[in-house]
Parts: sequence; C-alpha cells; structure tokens
Amino acid sequence: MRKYMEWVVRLRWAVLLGGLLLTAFFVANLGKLEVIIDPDETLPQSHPFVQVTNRVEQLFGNKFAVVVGITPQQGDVFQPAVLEKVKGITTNLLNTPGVVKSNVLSLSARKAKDIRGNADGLEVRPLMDAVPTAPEQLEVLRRAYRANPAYVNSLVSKDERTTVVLAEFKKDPAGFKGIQDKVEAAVAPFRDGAVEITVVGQPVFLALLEKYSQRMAWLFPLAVLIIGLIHYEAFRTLQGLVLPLVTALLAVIWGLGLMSLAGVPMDGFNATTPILILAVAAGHAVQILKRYYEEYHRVSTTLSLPPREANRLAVVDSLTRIAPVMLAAGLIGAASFMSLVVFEIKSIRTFGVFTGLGILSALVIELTLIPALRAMLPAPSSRQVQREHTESFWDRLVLTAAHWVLFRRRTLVLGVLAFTAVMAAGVALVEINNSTRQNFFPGLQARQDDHTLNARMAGTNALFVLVEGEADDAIKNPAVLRAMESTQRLLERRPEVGKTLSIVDFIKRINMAMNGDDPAFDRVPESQELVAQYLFLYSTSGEPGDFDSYVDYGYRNAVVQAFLRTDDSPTLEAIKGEVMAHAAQAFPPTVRVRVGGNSTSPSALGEVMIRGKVQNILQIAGVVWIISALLFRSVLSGALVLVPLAMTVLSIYGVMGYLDIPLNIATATISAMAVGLGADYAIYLTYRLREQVGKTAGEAQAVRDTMRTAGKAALYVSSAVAGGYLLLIASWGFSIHLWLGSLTSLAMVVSSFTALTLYPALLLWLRPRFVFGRSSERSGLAAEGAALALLAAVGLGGWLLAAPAPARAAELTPVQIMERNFMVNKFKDSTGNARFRLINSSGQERVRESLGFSKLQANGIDNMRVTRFTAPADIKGTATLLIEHSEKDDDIWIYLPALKKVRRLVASNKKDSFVGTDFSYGDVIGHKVSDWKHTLRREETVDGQPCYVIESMPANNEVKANSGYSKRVGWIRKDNFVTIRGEFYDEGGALLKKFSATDLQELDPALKRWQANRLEAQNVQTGHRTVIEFSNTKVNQSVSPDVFTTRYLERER
Amino acid sequence: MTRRLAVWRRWTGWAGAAALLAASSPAWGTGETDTSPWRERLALDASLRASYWSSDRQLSNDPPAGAGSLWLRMQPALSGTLSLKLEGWVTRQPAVDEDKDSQPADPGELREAYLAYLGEALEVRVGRQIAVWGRADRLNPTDNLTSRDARLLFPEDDDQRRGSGMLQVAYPVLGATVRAYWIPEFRPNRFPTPPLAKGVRFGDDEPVNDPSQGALRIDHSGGAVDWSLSYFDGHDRNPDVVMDRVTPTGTVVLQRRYGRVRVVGADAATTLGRFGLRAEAAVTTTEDEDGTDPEVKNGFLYAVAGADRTFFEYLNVNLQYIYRQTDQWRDPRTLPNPQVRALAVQNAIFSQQLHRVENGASLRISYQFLNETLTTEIAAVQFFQEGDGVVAPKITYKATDTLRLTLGGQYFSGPDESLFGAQKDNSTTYFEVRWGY
Repeated sequence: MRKYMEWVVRLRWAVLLGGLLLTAFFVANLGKLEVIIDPDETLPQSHPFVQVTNRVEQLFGNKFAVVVGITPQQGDVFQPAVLEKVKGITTNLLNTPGVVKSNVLSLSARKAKDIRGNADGLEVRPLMDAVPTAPEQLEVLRRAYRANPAYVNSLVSKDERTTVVLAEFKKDPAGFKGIQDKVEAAVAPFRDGAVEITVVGQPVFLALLEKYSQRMAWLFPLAVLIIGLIHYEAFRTLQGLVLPLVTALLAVIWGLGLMSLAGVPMDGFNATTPILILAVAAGHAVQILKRYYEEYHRVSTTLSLPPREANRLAVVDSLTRIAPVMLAAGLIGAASFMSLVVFEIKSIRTFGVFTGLGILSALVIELTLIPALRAMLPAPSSRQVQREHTESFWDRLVLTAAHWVLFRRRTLVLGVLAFTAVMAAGVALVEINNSTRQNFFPGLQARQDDHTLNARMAGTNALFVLVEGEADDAIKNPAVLRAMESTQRLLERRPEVGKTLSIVDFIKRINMAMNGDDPAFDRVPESQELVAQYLFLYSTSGEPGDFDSYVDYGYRNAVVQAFLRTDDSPTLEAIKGEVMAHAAQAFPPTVRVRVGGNSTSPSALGEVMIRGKVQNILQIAGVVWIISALLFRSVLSGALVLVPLAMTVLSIYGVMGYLDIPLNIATATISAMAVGLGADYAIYLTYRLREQVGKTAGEAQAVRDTMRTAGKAALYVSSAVAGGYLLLIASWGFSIHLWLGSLTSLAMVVSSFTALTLYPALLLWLRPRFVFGRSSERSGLAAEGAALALLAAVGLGGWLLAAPAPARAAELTPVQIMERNFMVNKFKDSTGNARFRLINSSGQERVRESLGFSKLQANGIDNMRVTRFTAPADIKGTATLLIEHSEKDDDIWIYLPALKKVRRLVASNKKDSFVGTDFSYGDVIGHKVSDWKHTLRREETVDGQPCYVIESMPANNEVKANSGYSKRVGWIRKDNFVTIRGEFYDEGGALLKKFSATDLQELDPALKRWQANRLEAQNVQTGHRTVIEFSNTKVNQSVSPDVFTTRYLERER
Repeated sequence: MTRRLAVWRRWTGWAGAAALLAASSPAWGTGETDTSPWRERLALDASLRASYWSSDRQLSNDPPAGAGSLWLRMQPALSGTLSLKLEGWVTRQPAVDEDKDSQPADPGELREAYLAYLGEALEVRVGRQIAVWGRADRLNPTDNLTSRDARLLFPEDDDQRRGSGMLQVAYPVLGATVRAYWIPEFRPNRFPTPPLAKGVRFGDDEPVNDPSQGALRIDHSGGAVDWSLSYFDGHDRNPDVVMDRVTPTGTVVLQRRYGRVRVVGADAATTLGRFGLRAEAAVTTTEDEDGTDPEVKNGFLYAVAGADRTFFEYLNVNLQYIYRQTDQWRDPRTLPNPQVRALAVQNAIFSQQLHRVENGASLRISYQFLNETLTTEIAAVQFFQEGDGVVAPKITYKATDTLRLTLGGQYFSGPDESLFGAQKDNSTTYFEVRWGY
C-alpha cells in the first residue's frame, strides 16, 4: 500500500488528470442513463390488484380519474348558472386531448341518460340536452335526475348542493402535472365567486408528488452545503469543507455513470439513493481526512521537513494506515448492497447496484484522485493543524462516551437494553400504508379539497370489482346480475364506500320504467331473455357507448365501480377480502370475480416493495456479518458489527411506530440506508482500537485515543449528514421529505451513538482476540457463545421486522391459507435430484431420475424449470425447459438426444400427466389460488400435525376443464402451510387421486419456504401410483439464468 | 499433396481435442480418490439390439435379414467445464453387393467423439459430432451439415446419422446463440444402389479435393417465436451420378460426385393456442448456377411448413406441407442425348427435380398408452406430382426401463420413376428387441 501511495503522490498530475478524464467520461455517459419514471413500469405487474386494474383498463378504458366538484355558494345545483358551468366544463373536457371521451360523465354528458317507460315501451334520452332556464324545466330535470338512482350521489350529492364532472385520462407524456394542467385549463374559465370548484382525484396527488419531488433539486444541494459547513466547523479548514463533498459527489457521478455503461436503468424509487452514497462516501472521506491531519501533525512535529514534503509524507502515511480499513469497510458495504442483485424486484436491484457502485467509486476516488489532489494542495498551516488538534466540543463529546464505556459500562448496557425494549415495542405499532394522500400534510389545499368533496359526494377513489364471464352474454344471466347487485349492497355497507355503480343499476331502472315506475320492479328481471330484450329496447333509443364504462361489448365482462373516500391500504385489503368471500358464495361458477382499481395500486406496490425492502435489510445484514466474520476471522466480530446496525434499524421502526409514520416505500429506504452506514463506524473503530491497544500502555488510553480519532471522525460525519438532512423538514406540505429528513437524522444519531458507546463497551466486555490479541482475559469459547447470543438477538430483531404485524394463522381466511400454501414451495432458485418411481397396479416399477433446476421469475409466482433426466439410459440426456406464465400458456421446450435438437412444444393442458407420472402439470406448477373457491371444511390432525382441511372448487368450468378436477381437498399444515395430504376428484365428481407429502424440510428459513422430499400420488381408478423423492436440494444458489435457455438443454449434461 | 492436406485437416480437430484435454484439469490423474463407480464416472451406457427385417434396405430381392448391433456411449465430465462425448456402434448387417456398389457397409461407426468446453457463455466442441438443424418435423431443408447411411437396418431414422469431424463454437449474442462451424471432414449420405443394367457398375466416388466446409447459424429460442437463420458453404451430401468411364471390357463405370453447394436457410416455430406451428425453408445454390449442366443438380428452394396439435392428452397429429422448386428447371426427359438423358432422369428422380415444382405433405399421428410405456405412431409422406409416398407405422413398448420392443414397417408406393416409387423394393416390416438405451 505504501509503494502504491508513493506512486500516486509522485504521479499526482497524471492521476488527477486521469481521474478527471474518467469523471468527464462518466458525465458524458449520464445522458444515456435510462430513467424510468412511469409508475406503471414500477408497479408489481404480477400483483392481483394491478392485474385487475390493467384488465379493467383494457376492457373499459378506465385510467386516471379526475373529479371536478362544483358547489354554488347559495342554493342547489339545479339553477341555470351552475348548470351552464357544468355544461361548459364538460364540453371543455371532451375537447381536451388525452381524455377518454366515452367515460366523461356529468349532468350534461350525453352518456347520462334519463330512462323512463312510455306507451311505446322505453324512452331513453339525455338527462340534460340543453341547459334549462325556466323553473318548470329545472324541475323536470330535477325529477329526471331523482328518478335515475344510478346518478344519485355520484353525479349530484345527496343534498343536491354539489355536482361533479367525472373525466378519465390516458397516460400523459407530460406526467400527472400535464393532466392537472389540462384539467385546470378546462375549468379555469368557469371559476368565479358564485361557485366553489374543486379538482380532486389520484392524478392530482400524483402531480403534487411530481412537483414536491422536484424540490430535491434545491434541497439536495442545500443539504450538501450544510454537511460541508458542519465539516468545516469540525475541521476548521477549507479541505474539511470541500474534500469530503468532492469525494461524495464524484462517487454519485461515477456510480450513475457506471450504471449507465452497464445498462442498468434508474427508477423513481431510487431518487433518494444519492443521499446514501453521499453519506457513505463522506464517512470514508472524513475518516481519511482526520487521519491525514493526525499524521501531518506527527510528521511536522517530529521531522524537520519542509511543509510541502511533510504534506506529501502525511498523505502517504495516512492512507497507508487507513486505506486497508477503508477498503475493508467499503468492500463490505459494496458487497452487501451488490448482493441485492439477486432480488426479483427491479428497483431493489437498481438500489443495490447503484449504491454498491457508488461505494466502490468512493473507494477508488479516495485512493486516487483525493490523495493526488491533497498532495498538490498547500500543507495546512500550523494554526490549522493546532486548531484541529486542540480540544473542542467534539472532543468533549467523544471523551464523555469513552468515560461511560470505560467506567459506567453496566449502566450504559442496561440503558441501551431499556431503550431497545422501548423501541421494539414501538416496532409492533408500525403500520404498512402506502396511501398517496398520506404523503402530504393534512392541511394542504389538495387534501382539504379531497376531504371536502369526499364528504359531500360518494368518494373520489375508484375500486373495481371485475366480473369475467366465460362467454358472450354471461353478464345477462340474472344470477350474475343479482350477485353483482348483492356485491354492491355489501360494498355500500362499509362507511368508506359512498356509492357503487354497475350495469345492474341501469337494468333495474329499465325494468322499473317498463313497469310504470312501479317500485316493485326495482329489481333484476327474472329471465335472461327479458334482460336481453330490455337491453335491446334500450339500444334502440340510447347510444352505443352508454354502457361502455360498465360492461364490455359482448356482455362477457362487467365491472362494479365503487367510489371510496379513502385509499388506505389496510382498508382496501379488508374490502377485497369481504368482496372475494361474498363473491365465492354469491356468483355462479361460470364467472370469475376479481378486485382492483387505481386506488389499489399503491397498496399493491406497498405490499410488494415493502416486503422486498425488509428482506433486503436482512440480506445486507447477513452479508455484513459474513464478510466481517471472514475479515476479522471471528464469528463474534461479525455479530458485533451488526449491533449498531440493528440498533439503528430498531430505532427507526420504533420511532415510526410511536409517531404513526407509516412503513411505505420512502421510509423503508431509510432503514436500508442505516444498515449501510452503521457497519462502517464500527469497522473504523475496531481497527483503530486494535492499533491503539498495540501502541499504548493502558487500555483506557487506547479507548480515549480511538474515540478522539476514529470516533470523532464518525461523529463529524453523522452530525453533518444528520444536520444536512434535517433541512428536508423545511419541505413544507410534503410528508416524504419530513420523514426522510427526520428519520435519516435519527439514523445518523443512533448509529454513531451506538458505535461510540455500546459497541466499544461490548468489545471491552467480551475482549475478542481480533482486538485484544491472545492476552484476552475471557476465553474464546465465551466470546463465541456471546456472539451466538447476539446473533440470536439480531435474528429476533430481524424476525420482528420481517413480520411487522402479520395476521395470525388463526385469523387467516381460506384464501389466505391457500395463498401461503401456493407460495410455500416457491424458492428463488433451486437445484436438486429427483427420483420418480412409477408403479403400476401389479407392482411393476419403473424408475426415472432427474437433475432439476428452478428459478423464480421476476413476478415472484412463475418458475423457470429445467429437468434433465439422468436415468434410465433410454431417456438419459432428455431435458425439458418450462417457462411458466400464470396469465397465459407456458413455454415448453424439449431436447431429445436421439434427435439432437430442441423442439418447442405446445403448452400442455394443466391436467396432462407430468412425464408419465400420476401428477399433472397443474399439480407440479401449482394451482392458481384465484382460480378456485376455497372453503375451510374442518381442522384435523394428520401424523401429529394440526392441519386445515380446505376444499377447493373450480371457480368456473374453464378451470375445471383445464385442471381436470371438479374438487380438490387439501390437508394443509397449520404451522408451515405445506399440503401433506390431498384428494383430487375427476370432472365427473369421482375420487381420482390421493396424494401425500412427507419428509418435510425447511429449505429457506428466511422466507419460510418448505419442500416435501417425498411425494406420492395414487390414481385410485387405475391403481397406478407415483413416488417422487427429492434429494440434494439446495436453494438460493444464484442459479444462472443461462441454465434456463435452450442452449443449455443441448449440453446433454 | 492435396490428400496430405486433407488428412492433415481431418486430424487437426483430434489434435486440438488432445491439446485441450491435456490443458484441462480432469478429476482423474490428480491422485484424488473418486468413490463413484467407474461407470458413473464415465457416464457409460450400452445398448444391445437385435432385429428381424422382412427386406433389407439395399433395393435387393434378398430374403429376410437379421441384424444386430452393440451401442456404447459415454460422456465423462473432465472438469467443471470440460467433457468428452463418445458414441458408436458395431453391427452385423446384410453385406452390400460389391459387384454393383463401391460403398461397403461399415461394421462399426464412431458416431460422435468430441471434446466439449461448456463455459458460462462460450461453448466449444471439437471432434466428430452430429449437428442437426431445423425446426420442421423430420423433414429439414436446412439440415445439411452431417450425413446418414440410409441402408442401415435401424428402426429409428435418427440412428442412421453419422458424425463429421468439426469445430463448433457457440456464443450467446443479444438473446440469440451464434454458432459457427468449421467442418474439415466430409462424409456423404449413403443410399442403396438401385439395380443396375448388366455391364454397369459404380466405381469409386469422385475425390473431394477440398473437404473444408463452414457454416453459421443464428438461433433464437424463447419468447413468442423461436427462429434461426443459417448459412452453409460446403459439399452436397447427396451425390450427382455421372459416367466416369467405359472400361476396355465395355463395362460402364458410374461415379458419385459431391459438388459444392451454398445453402441459406431459416426456420421458425411458435405456438398458437393448442397448435404448434413450424416452418423451415432453404435456398440451395449448386455449381450449376445457370442450369445448363445435366450432370449437376440445379439450385432449388425447399420449404416445409405445418402444425401439430395434441388431442386428449396423448394423441398428437402433425401435418406439414412440403414445397420444392427447382431453379432454371429444364425437363431432363427432353434431353437429346439418350445416355445423358438416362442419367439426368435418374439424378432428377433422386434429387426431386423431375418437375419444376413438387408439392407434398407429411402426416404423423402418435398416441401413447399405459403411462407412456406403449407408443404407437404412423408417419406418412406423399408427393402429389408423381403420387409417390411412404407410410411408416410403428409400435414401441417399453416392457421395463431397459427392455424395449419395436414392431414397425416402411412401405413405399408410386411409379418406378419417382423418389419413393423407386424404393418399393425397400418396403419392409421389422421387429426389434432392444436392451439398454
């Protein structure tokens, strides 16, 4: 290292020039960095909510709904001045580019029809053709409106004081701000003192999100400036102000440039990641700078060298000593973050790659550009050196910490334990909520408008219940219509639901109109023929697009729209649960019912993203532990390094719990950041303490020296970053910035506090060899035991985090049980051997052996599978590649060694036998939970294990035909959700197969994923049975994606 | 000199293989004790096959024949990335009538013997290999790299394939796999020789002076459609028969000649609902670019397209349309010189150039019973111009994992002057017992 540093100092100009050229190259490449800002791109497309939302959009055109509320200052809405405004706004919106014309709805929209019966049959005409002016005309309109319940509380409020214009927009190239501007342009001419006009809806909040996020453009530089100023206060030199910031900013630029070159796209969720890189890079830079001043002071006071030479020698000496520590800490950090590339969620991968590259860049910069630059700069003046060396406020702080560590250790540890307990209790209070509204202060005009209009009207958040039939005209079935109606009534019972709308409302209105407005006929007609005839009658006087928002052209699919006053994630989940449970009972099996809607997207996103973030914290912690343990050759060291990190995460979640800060994407990122930083402080302290223990006579002095050097540097950085990010609190109105500012500051304070107190206290208590050498008083065994205890504690913390507030098994619905059952054997990837024993009714046995690989696809549901048969000889080398697609047919290829080529096969029916066994493809892949209706029949104990007995019936005939089963019954273990016994009934209802699973093994404890190593299925109708035995199964092996290519199949081995 | 060069080229591959082998760090030879059985370490499999045929495949009127063969294959892994593949057979087949044919039946064949380096992305295979191209079902216009011996009494067509010495390099590029081949060893297809008139016989094949051949294939599998584009520059595996000389005793000596061809091909396969769709086409240019040389086949387009669907889980029906069009076509039957005409007509029959356009169809229906242990299949090909065709039914029963019984047949029909009609004497019924793979 010394030779290298001397080389850098000698060739400083070349190194500086090279570094600058490289920076220029990265800057030039920044333009190529792909930035994904489309929220759809980052939504978890596999999530059921998102899939339904997309399907509804495809069928009915719904996208981003904007609601314009119009409330007169005096009187109700049935007055010419108000109605003129309704008509004007409607006309303007219809002429606005990007609007879905067929879905614009208001009193004056052509789509709003007055349906009534007359002597000839049915009369359908626009609710308001022209704006009425005479009182009697206004009364006619009022009566017509009241006679059509579909519009009550959806177009006009119940008190008739407010009316709305509903418009839906397609995705706008100018973002949500573009949509908001267009709406404002359409509305602006009608704003005056006589009416209150409010514009609300999801796009309004998303536009605000865009607008407030842009504040980062000035907040970030200001934060950087404050960090610099605090560093200046600490070092009192210009270098102290500038150099750490230069390192940090260059690391961000290099990281972005490397991402651009590697073709890794940036996404919106990583907008705050530069903060993390900045903090980590500044952390290393300050440690080095601190050491440099120490070395310069030593060199200048002990050697009689000219200042310039002393400066260069100090550069070499300081880096020679601290570079290995920096490399160790930095590489641990980079490797920890880089390990996130195994995650399936793209933005987490990006987070890992970006942060890892940023940290690596910081290391390279600190080993090249910065020493070269420092060697060129003039040496610090003696006054600067002296000032840095004299005792300051910072010294007093760290020396106080040293005092507690040395002499009040027990009190300190007890205090920390009490603090931990308090924070752990707070963790239990954390609520996952990704509501878009929560990102803004309640007092904000947009939130108040939203609140007001939600209170007056049915609600501005759309939730869809999608009803999908098997064939055209499925929706005309009175049983389906009645089920839709009962679903609407169910939804309306919830206080958050202000109104529901569906084709049923219109059919009932037609029925009533055709029967002289007799309220007895305010119901769904009895026969499908009558429904069809009514709709035909309607079509003769209505317009073709009138029902486009509610039912598709062939009457195969329909949607129940519910207007909600909230987009609160837990509420949406609860509503979904109720609707699905009701649908299972109410709808005939010929239709499939699903729930979605734009208001559900944040919920879906939150669910997937937060789960991922929490997992990535655990993964980073795991990698930190392993590498630290390897680095210090001690299991204990790995566990100790995790202590500040775990404390920080615990504090963040605890505070979030107590202050009702929701766990969402923004807040989950902060905890990952804390994990990245916590380890660095501990590693610097460890190395320095080891150095000082070897150098100084007394242990107490070693601790004090460590605190005044590495400890003080850690304090500088944490204070600077905390101070800088506290500035974000100034972003008024925007909760995300408030959380980011306050929680980042908290993370900095806790991580440095723990690193300066608890961590050294534990070191002194446990006296590990990696610090104190062989003279350690305590035995290694005791230390390792303590490490295990610590690990257990950290693991417990991890468990708490991984399951913030899980529903207990006892409270699970059958669907939730089946969902867990469906996921229980989904491994990120796996390799292993399988032995298939095929036994016919007379006991003859054939054996097939295979080597298998699987890898979960990005959606977390579908697998890629390669099965290569290794015996018997006649099929040896035969290999299949199966790429599952839950929403369409699977892709299958087979390689037959005799043919020497790969053939693409038609996807098998799910009921087809899997390679001649008694298992079907559906059994192997897993039956999609939503395709079946599940009922908990009873609870039973099988082989000493309590089980749920779930009966699953196909949701419709298509599922029945595809799966080949009319019923499945599964005995699912309550503790791990593995099916250990099953029965399958053929399409005729007769028992077809029996199934059992034994020798269960938890292969992925972190994700609670299990595998049964022995499966047996017996066809009771033929007597044939199959036993599959798995062995050598390994999971999470980072199986290369190349394995799942046809090229790999051809390898024959 | 040329011959020495050819020999040198032929063995270059083996030398390369030996060098790679020497450079590798195989598990054996390192002193490490491997406890796995030697057979498993070698990945050695064997197969013993005995069959009875109602007719041989030599267009003879010989009595029913028996055949037996021993097959061996091994594929030991030498290291994590290096492996060796060896496969071959020895057989007892009916003797070839050497009075009329200069190509004796081989008593043994080393079908494949190559060293493979299979890295994460790069794959290199050097040595004798069988390379099979094409996504159509059994009729593959782009499949020109390695040869077959159609006279062998093996029930499976693919067992008639023979490898050639080559260097194959594969590398994935942008989601596709690029495969480049250098094939220094040329081995032609072998066909039965039809009965010849008295005083006519086949002499030695015309020497192939430059056996070196090259090929490139860009192959994509995955997503909605699998496809490939390919190019082959080498020798035609199917001969043109020319008159070599007339001996002083008056015997006419014929000679097989294998001209250079260039083949540009493409194929694609996809699925549409329950249907599998496949198409494959190749344009071949020969040495007779302007179609004036009656002794050399003309360039041609050969295309196959079809679909398959599986009903009731196991009933697979595969139907394909076959199209062949000859470039610069001229009716060989109108050639003025009777001697030239006779040979040109025979060549045209064999290379399916008797008509400018030939249309045909293939059908294959298969069904499996008893948990896939009993497989029945009937395959047929019919050409419409001459009305010739072949039907091949087959029943295979896997009594155990090692014992397999096959009963089948191949029945040709059509006018004598047609591709399949000329092979009527090869119509046969067979029964095979196979033990092993």
